[in-house]
Amino acid sequence: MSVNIKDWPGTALSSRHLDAGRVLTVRHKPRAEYAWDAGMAIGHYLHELKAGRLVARSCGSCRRVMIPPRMLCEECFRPTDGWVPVKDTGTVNTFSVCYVRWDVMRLKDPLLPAVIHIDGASPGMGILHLLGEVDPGEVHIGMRVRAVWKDPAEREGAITDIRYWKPLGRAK
Amino acid sequence: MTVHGITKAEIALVAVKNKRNAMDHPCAQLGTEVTVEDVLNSEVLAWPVNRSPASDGAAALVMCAEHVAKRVSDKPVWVEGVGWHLDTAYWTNGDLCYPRYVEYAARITYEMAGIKEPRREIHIVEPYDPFDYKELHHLEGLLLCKRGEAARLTADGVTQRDGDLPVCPSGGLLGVGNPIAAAGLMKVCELFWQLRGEAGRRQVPGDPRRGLAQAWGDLMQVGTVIILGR
Repeated sequence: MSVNIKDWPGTALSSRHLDAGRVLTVRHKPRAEYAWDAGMAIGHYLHELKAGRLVARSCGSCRRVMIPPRMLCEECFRPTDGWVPVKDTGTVNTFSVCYVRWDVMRLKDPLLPAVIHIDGASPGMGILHLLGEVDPGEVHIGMRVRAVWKDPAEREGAITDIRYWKPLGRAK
Repeated sequence: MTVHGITKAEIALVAVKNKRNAMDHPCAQLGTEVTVEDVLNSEVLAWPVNRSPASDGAAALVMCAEHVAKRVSDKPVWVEGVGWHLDTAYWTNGDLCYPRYVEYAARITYEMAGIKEPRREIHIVEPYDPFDYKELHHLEGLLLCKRGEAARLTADGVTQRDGDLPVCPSGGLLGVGNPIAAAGLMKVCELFWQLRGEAGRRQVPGDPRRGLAQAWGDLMQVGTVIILGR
């Protein structure tokens, strides 16, 4: 704010004005229904998730194996070439210990969202998912993890068909 | 934190600085005197980030042609350079440690503004700071310090309002508030007041001639940079 202007035009609003009904308000319930096509790449990816598999797309030009899959290589600006099965194991690249839900509800037990680099895809190819069966204090960058799938009957072709990723080979 | 070996306490100094700076801002939502301990002991929402302000606000600029600017004002502030850069929207496939898109946006801006040595030629920086680590992250992307060194500059007081490279003298988003979509322009407005010497108690000493503002957003892959001068 400029020191040259002392009196700014307008009236400052506070919750007091809103509570007293001194502000014009409009109530509207939007009918926000929509249909959305997941597209070829993500559509097939979700279909394969239902079957309990992770798949990636490969580009014959830059030789990358990309997950999440895409029909266009964003490095080479050309169509990708084929489907490649990848493993349901990976490495934690980064993570958070999250005490707030997507709708801003506070959580007592934190969620552990993480970017997981998938084995079988090119280096640095990660997906965002959740970690489970692990103490938040034990999670670290570079931790090896494996997907925990839902039962086949419960799967619905969504990324949540993987419940979470748990640490790999803790028995060692 | 992992790559450069920086601690949460070092990063928290950014929040301490910006919230203190914001005490001099009449619009500030969260201007207050806090210590590193206060920041570290505050409620954790998504570790390692503790809290970010939820705000609403608006900012506006009047842009006009050069001949009009000279007619309506004795002290116009000029846009010397702008730059944008978009990284891929597949953010989980990218480098999450270094904001290369900010660097590319900054390089476009520096070239347009004819800046060869940003560290010497930029007198005020308003990088996007919705979380304390982002200020450090963006200073590195803007080529204003070496990678991993931004935390040390903060600890040494270089980024204080009266330091060698004042960063977020307004109080930034951590102190003034984080009105998404208005936040970037809020920083440009601060440069305008600073360059005209109208920032009052927030005024950066030394008669600054050139400032840089930067915004970040969308799927964490967009960098926008602007340089104002007089």
